[in-house]
Amino acid sequence: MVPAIFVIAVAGFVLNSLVHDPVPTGITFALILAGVPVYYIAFGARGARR
Amino acid sequence: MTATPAKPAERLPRTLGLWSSVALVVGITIGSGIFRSPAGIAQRVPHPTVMLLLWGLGGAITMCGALSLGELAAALPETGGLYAYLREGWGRMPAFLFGWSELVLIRANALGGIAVVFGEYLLRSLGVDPVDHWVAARCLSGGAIAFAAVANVRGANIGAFIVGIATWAKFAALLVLSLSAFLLGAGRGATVANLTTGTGAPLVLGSMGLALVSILWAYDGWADLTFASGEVKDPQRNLPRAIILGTLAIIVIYALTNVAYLYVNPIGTVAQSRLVAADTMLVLFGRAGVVLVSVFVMISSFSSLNGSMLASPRVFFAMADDGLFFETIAKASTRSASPRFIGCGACGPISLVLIARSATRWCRPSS
Repeated sequence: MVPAIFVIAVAGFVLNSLVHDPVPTGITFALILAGVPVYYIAFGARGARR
Repeated sequence: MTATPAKPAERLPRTLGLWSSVALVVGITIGSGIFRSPAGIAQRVPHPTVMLLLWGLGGAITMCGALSLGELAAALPETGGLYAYLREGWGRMPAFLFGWSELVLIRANALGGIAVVFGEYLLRSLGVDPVDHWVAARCLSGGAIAFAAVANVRGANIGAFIVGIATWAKFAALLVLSLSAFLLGAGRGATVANLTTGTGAPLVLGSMGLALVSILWAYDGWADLTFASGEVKDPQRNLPRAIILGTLAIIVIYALTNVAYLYVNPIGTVAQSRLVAADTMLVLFGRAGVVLVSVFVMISSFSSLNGSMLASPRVFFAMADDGLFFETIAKASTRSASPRFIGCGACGPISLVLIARSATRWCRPSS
């Protein structure tokens, strides 16, 4: 129950930020997603060492 | 969630006890946010009672996060914290994206922003205008990052020692500010009516949501202890206790501080005050109070910077250990048993670039 409250609340903040403050929130998402190609090009091909 | 086998390289010794861990949580979380963010929050929420309720709601949400994370931390007390939980729960790619965000966004902004606040307040406490002497302010900011990086490269104990001393100093400072307001405020124009009288401007739900984001930003840092989980003694017992005790202490001191601000200043004044703590101390103690609070904001910023530097590079250390970051980062110094290239190898250069570009003009105020 407690984790669910936290997840729902945080998801609400993200949605609210997207609606009311879209440019900085969009830039933030773009920077995070820029990590996807970095992952596949630089590190994704390596197997887990553990 | 599957049980994680013992890491082949448990190279970081467990040196952080319960109270060092609590100090780390408090030290990282209480930064410049409680001294700066009330103005922006009051602009979005022009009613003091609603503002205080939002701080309470932010604290409740933070405590939900702390309780959830405390359980995870006890189950998986590994260096890397949130990164390790994401890796075990969702796989390597989401975990990598979290680490990537830490590198390019979260930590770089936080370190740069906090260091800028430190440099400016250090000059201000010396009576020098940081706007006129911005080069000196930026040099001091860079020096603070370098100092914190070196202290933490020397070992987690030194970093935790600095955080411990500074943490109790700023916790005491906020307590003194609050108690002074309640004891001396009545004779200096403070009134309980300030806690219930708004400006008359309408309350907007979307703005309240954004205000809550700012409040959560001030609370941000409560999870950072998990990054150094691999260095906490008796982690199954100490990690959840430290996260919950630290978060509880922050909620209480933030509530007291906000009530003190609003008791001394009407919410319209708080909304216009870039440094509400200084304005509160100005009312209570005159110019000496402003100097005093500047020193405490400086200590607070440095402690937060140091704590952040202590905890966050452990994420890159864990990533490197999994082959998701440069292998050199995964090598621990044999002398200090601390990850090499902490800060200076990962966050440091980015933070210095951010400082050079006066990052705080386009970053959110740091906590």
